[in-house]
Amino acid sequence: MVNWVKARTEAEIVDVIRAHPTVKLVGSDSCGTWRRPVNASVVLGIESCGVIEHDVEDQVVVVSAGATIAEVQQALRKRGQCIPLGPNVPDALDRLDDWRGSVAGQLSLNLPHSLQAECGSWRDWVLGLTIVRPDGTVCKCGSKAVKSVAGYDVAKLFIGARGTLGVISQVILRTFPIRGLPQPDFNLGSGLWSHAGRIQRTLSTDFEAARIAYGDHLIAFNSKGSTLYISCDVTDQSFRYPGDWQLGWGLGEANLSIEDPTVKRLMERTKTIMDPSRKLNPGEFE
Amino acid sequence: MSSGQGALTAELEKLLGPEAVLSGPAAERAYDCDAYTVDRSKPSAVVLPRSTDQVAAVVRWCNSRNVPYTARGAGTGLSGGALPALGGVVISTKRLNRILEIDVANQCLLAQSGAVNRKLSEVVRPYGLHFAPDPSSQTVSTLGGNIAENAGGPHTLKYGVTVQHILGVTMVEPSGEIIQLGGRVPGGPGYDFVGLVVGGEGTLGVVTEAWVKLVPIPSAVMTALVSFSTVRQATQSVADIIATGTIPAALELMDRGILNAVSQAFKINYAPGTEALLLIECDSDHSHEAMSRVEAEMAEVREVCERNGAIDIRIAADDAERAQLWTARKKGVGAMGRIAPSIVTHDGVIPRSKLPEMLDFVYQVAKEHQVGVANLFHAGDGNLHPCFYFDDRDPAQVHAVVEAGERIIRRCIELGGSVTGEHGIGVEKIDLMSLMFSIEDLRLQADAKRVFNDGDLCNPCKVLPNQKSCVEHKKRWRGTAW
Repeated sequence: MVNWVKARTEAEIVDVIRAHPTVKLVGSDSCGTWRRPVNASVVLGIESCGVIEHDVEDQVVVVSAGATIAEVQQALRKRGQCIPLGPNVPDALDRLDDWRGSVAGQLSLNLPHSLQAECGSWRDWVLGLTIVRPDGTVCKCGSKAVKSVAGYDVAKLFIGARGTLGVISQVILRTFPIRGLPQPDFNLGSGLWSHAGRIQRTLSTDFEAARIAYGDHLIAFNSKGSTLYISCDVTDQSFRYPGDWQLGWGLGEANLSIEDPTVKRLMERTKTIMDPSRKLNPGEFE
Repeated sequence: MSSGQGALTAELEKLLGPEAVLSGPAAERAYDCDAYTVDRSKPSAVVLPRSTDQVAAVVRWCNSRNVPYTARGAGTGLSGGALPALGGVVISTKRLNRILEIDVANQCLLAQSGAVNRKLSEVVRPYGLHFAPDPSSQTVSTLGGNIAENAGGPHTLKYGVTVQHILGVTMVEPSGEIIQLGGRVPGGPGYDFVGLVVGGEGTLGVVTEAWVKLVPIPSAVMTALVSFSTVRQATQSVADIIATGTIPAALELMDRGILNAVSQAFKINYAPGTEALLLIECDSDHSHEAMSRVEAEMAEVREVCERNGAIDIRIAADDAERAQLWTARKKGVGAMGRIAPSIVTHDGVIPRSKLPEMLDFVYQVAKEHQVGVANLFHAGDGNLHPCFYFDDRDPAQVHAVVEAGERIIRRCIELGGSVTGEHGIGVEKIDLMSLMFSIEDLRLQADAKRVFNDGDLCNPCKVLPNQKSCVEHKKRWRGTAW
């Protein structure tokens, strides 16, 4: 039987990390369907400590890792600002205010979203992170400066890293004015939302052909981002295009597959350097 | 030339052909520094490869002989990034200058790393596209150099820095292997290695090609030059403009020091009583309503500036006048040569809200150290460039400039900013990294570096302090010296 632990503070995160040989990091546990199976001696959830600091004039916000997207957006909206994150699942269009995914969890997954083409993504919004490393030491990367080239931009490695390199305890983000925010470009296809499926992103020149080819298997699409949501009954190798990529939900091991051998090698090397004992989320990428 | 150096050169000539290898006193002098001229170190040889394979061959050769190597684009870097700190081989990308593929439909382009920044925009202009990063050096700086330093420029405020426009790279790893990271389709699962390499200051490998994102040329642009009788009014206007929710394409501030130089150099006059200028540009590419959007934004900007006491507002009527309004910004630093034999341009970042107090501090420091100062800012980002002007033949003035520069950069950190907004760490600010980052923070950065570079041959002595065999930085002055 696996222990479940919730940590609220950085010190509590450190205690859990140091006390266990393997840790499954779930954040708010709102996005388990997108992940690969992870077996660990403890499951660590991160509770919200909300927004820590909001510099309205400088358009910078510091949030606890467990702060939900909804919490952060509500706090920012009071001052006419936001994180320009669009919905990334069809039923999220109606519940943006209830988005219970945590900031750290969302940036760790870095799923495509429906404002990405116009407003960028987490790699463009994250200015800095506080990280608890697998050995329990706490360190920072980046800063509150909206523009900085001081040293290596290590924060970039943690975005989309699915919690495999360190536990994020605090996030520094740049904010954006709500005014002028475009409407999310998220359209429903003729397919039904399914418990399992895939996101596929293509070149824009291949997008229309893909959209038509998928027919009734197409659940939703984002034209500006050339992103399609496909039901799971399409086999993995159908309708693939040069340079495209896929990731899945509800497919367990098949949710994610790193196909490029160079990227696989470098990811293995990164993991070995950053988490030599393979403590964090073992199996998330393997 | 020593016999060892002669043997090294001969081997490289055998590898690449004699026409691709430079050595001797002239080459040493030309390549012993970049635009950060206070530190110099002679290379043993300079190579000019024409292909990724040739770069890889050089890197593997260097590995086999334990010879350090440093990549170099145009040499316009401002922190010593292209300084061959431990000698060895300089790998010039001068002949890696081709545009390889233009994909208009997908709005991207593949170029070799020695291609000049401005040229990327020029070749796609007929398609209504451009490469957005526009550092001041863009007429000569190379794509590879821009990638190494994650270059910015005046239009960073709206369009972002270089990393936001790089889709993928071909790079020769320090192991000598050629790898491709990223590609034309952005995002994708896995670790963001492209994001780590951009801004890696050439210490993670040698980038030889890159897929870059292109963006539409704005279909509507309005440019305003606004005069204020106090610097405070200008900085307050910056804060108020940002607070409206408008994101101008550019928001630059210049003070009286820059204006004096520009007036002398180019015979341009500004409204009487002007102590500070704001250069503000608004643009839009939403084709059918672009102009009305831009006009609305500019009207809002104008209202803010008038509310803060603007004494003159000039809006460019056409492209020619726009170019003229940009003169103070683009030529301001160069024009400083009119008023003093030497200048040093610094680079730091502070939160926008701290602009007024930081400028006050800069003037105070200059006064206390009895040096002249002129200020040029990417005000929208809080990225300042104080320019100290002095006579470097006077050791007392040199000392004063060193001390003043240190105080400015330390103040940036105290105010929650950064030691560098766009020039990079290089060798210039390597001993300031510990002011901004703890030992554990730096260990994290060192571990990230090890993903690609676990040795000490690839552009050594840059970015991270305490690297072995690296001599102590000669503390003459920070910033670019002219």
